[in-house]
Amino acid sequence: MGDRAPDEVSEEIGSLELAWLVSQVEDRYHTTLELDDAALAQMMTVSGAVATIHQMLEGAADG
Amino acid sequence: MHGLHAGAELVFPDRLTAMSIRAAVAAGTEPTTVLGVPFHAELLTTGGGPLPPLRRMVVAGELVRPWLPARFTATYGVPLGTMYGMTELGVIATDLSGCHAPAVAPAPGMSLRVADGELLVRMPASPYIGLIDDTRWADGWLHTRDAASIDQATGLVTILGRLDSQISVGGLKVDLTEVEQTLCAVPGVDSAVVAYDGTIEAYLVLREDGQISGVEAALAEQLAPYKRPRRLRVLSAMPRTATGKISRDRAVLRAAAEAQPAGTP
Repeated sequence: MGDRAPDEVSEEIGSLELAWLVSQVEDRYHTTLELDDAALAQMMTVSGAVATIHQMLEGAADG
Repeated sequence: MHGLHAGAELVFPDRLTAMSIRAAVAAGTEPTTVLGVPFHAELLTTGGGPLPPLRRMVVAGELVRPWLPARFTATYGVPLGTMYGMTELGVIATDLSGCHAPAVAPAPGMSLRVADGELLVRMPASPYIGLIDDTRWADGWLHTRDAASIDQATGLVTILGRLDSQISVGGLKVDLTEVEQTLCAVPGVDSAVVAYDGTIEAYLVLREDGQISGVEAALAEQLAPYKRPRRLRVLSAMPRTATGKISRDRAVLRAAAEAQPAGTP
């Protein structure tokens, strides 16, 4: 969480790491991610989280 | 409760994100202290800048990583303080201005000592209902189960870590023994150990009819998300020590997992 090299980060995401990630994305893109249980369930891996965040940011951009 | 009695206003941010916490602080005009766990302070230091109402942040619940106070102060220009306490006693020791870090000063009325490396706090009567467990309270002293040292000259206390199997995830307490026992009791699991090295990891051997997806589902039913192992690593056999006990050495367990053939679930 800001202190590891990319190759030290595993594919699985823990609950604290997810909280960290959401906070970082909201800060960087000045937005609020409204994540329901279904979306959160998709974010248990790095790949799933990236896909979900892309979707939400694109959705926000479309307005 | 003391804060409310003194007329302080308690404000809860909408969400536990850095943006929301900063917005909650910025929305006020009165001098403001943010109370949280070290994870919140770390969240706040990845961005942000001076917030006029902010006077300090105070964190509790787990040890603060050594770099955090300086980074917090560099970001916000105010101190990061710490508190140490227990549900049984409330606040035991504090460093509200950050000047003693990593040590804390006993709160008024608190009497502390260290015995066999464990911090004890004077408490005339057991706070527990029922039979008294003398590993938790004995002879007028409450056992914290924390390792600590006390500077005899200053009375300052440095908390060094836990003496038992409890760890902290973002301030939430997890008993690794509970996680391991839950995992071992899952049908389909032959044997398992839980290790902690910053994150909770589990190493297990499946029974013949065991499936990792079934194990994950069982854990999801029985353990809160913050208690669940971040990774379940399946081994064909548990590595053992020379005396035949399952090895808990993290390097040995990691090596066993890495030696597994590709395609192991």
